[in-house]
Amino acid sequence: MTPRSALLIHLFFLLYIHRAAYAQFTLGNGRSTLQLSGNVTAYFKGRIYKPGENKSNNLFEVRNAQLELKAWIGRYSSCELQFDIAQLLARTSDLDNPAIREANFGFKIPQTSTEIRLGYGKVCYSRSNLVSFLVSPFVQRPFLTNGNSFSRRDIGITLTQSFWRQLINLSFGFYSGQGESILRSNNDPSGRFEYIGRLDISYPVRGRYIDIDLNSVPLPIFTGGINARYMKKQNTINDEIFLRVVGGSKLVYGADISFMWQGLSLQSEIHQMHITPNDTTRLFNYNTTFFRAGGYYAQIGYYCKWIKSNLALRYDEMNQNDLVKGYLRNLTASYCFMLNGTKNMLRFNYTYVIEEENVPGTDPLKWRHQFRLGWQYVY
Amino acid sequence: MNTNIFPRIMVNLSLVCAILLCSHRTDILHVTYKKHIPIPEPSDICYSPSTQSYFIVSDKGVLYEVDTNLRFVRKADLAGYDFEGVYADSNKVYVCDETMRRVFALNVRTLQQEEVRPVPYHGGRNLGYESITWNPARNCFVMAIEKDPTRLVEFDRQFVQLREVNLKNKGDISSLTYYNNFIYALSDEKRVVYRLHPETYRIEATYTLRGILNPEGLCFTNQGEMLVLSDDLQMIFRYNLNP
Repeated sequence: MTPRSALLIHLFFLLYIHRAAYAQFTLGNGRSTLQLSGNVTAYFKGRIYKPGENKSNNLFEVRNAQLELKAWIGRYSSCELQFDIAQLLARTSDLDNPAIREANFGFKIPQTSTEIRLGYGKVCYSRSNLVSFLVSPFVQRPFLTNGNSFSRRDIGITLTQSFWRQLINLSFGFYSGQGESILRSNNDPSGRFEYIGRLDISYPVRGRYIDIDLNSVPLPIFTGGINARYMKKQNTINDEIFLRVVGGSKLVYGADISFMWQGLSLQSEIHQMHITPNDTTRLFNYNTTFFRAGGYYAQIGYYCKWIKSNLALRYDEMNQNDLVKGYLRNLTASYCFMLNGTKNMLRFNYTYVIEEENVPGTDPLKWRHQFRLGWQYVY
Repeated sequence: MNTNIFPRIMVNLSLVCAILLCSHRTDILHVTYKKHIPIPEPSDICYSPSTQSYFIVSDKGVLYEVDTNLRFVRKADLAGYDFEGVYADSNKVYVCDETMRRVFALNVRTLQQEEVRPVPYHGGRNLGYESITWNPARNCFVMAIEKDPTRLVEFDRQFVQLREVNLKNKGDISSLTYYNNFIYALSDEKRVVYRLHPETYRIEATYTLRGILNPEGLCFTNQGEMLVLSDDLQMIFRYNLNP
């Protein structure tokens, strides 16, 4: 079989099976229900490397092979377990895409809209974090919010309360502070927690954590959010840029906005970190006790129903340490073709690194251009 | 090549186009009136001729009764999970619980529960039965499965399943109602109302709704006006329709 005919057969197969994308399965006993769902995402990653770099990362990859079990017990309780087999077997752990994604139990207080959630899962910080990868036009989150600057998941307790037709949502939680690393380790020797709070307000209807206006909403919908988190730890966890869990104190605060109308969607988010590290080598001999880090991203997208396509563009910028000159700045373009909404979607992303920030002690990037062509299938 | 064949093709094509245009009409409807209702997350509405009132169900598993001016009258002492469909005849109110795959039948005057019938479906928890109505043309209940795939399912009076009809490529269905010899189906995501043939469920006309978001419930007043319920906006919109 020639490569061309193999490609045609694959395309035909893809077009055929989209009709069978019939979502989840549910079992029930009249009082409780259990829903089985999941997704598979695979893509080709191609990078244009700097001269002399190893090109072994130009490859086909299964990003996700997820299974999600969600149970609702009685009127007020629920339980969720979501894991990713592809990441369980992966050689390296990816903070943006961990193997265990949700393992928690929730309880709604009767006659109120308050929910308490206990266990491991997403923390209530950053809109980008709360948007599922499956409903985003981008294969990767901005560097600022992909889990390197602050953890995206942790073990702890989250309380959420909605007001006024869910236009106002308030969340507060306290967590181990070790983030995704808590699944493989104990808490920090200090034994302290991390405290996180978030408030978002939408108008004229409740906002949803989605980055594509799939329904081409006829009324403009605005959402604005503010959030903050604080931790004081003894040890730093050695991540890619040493920012996620810092020995010392770390205060992060940020704000985000989102807008959707007639297929057009806009999102932007900004975060600032104020870090007082125990390890003074990170202050690079400046006469100070702290450094700042942070950045922002802005993205715009347009979904056209008639051609089942979404075009999006994102600019993101991050300063890993204000004591070091420079920024990391990226531009990402995205095209998505939706065979069956986001349940069966092809995504093409191109990222161009405009500028790098070379903070001493961190590895410089090996590439400037990256292409990703991926396919996602949700069942 | 026979030169006479071209005009014949053109005539045939014109006939096909004319038949298609006549068989599937698309109209745009504008809001004539709207009102906020004090019911959280309303999901369906029906008109009850015997009590001359409306019944509204909510995602919180509550059944409400409102008068013809859309003022609150009472609420049923019935605790459900996620009510998505409601239909009332002269004796009973039928309420469909999407999560638990059940239909409750209540006395229309006392709102006391009289029976519960299971309507099994193993699709997504939030993609189950979205609506219920009675189809006099086929003497059966019709319930809509919202999407993935969108289907109409017929049941007899004991809620024994009779048949299924697929509605391909028509988006989701969030509400059904029978009026003036037709079934009307509401699509939340497309914000359109389809007029369906009551025997075949073939789409005969499409009405695009302007000025509404997240429409979840549909019924007709006794004056023949179309009422559409918006879940997110918690409002009722009135449209004039002359089928």
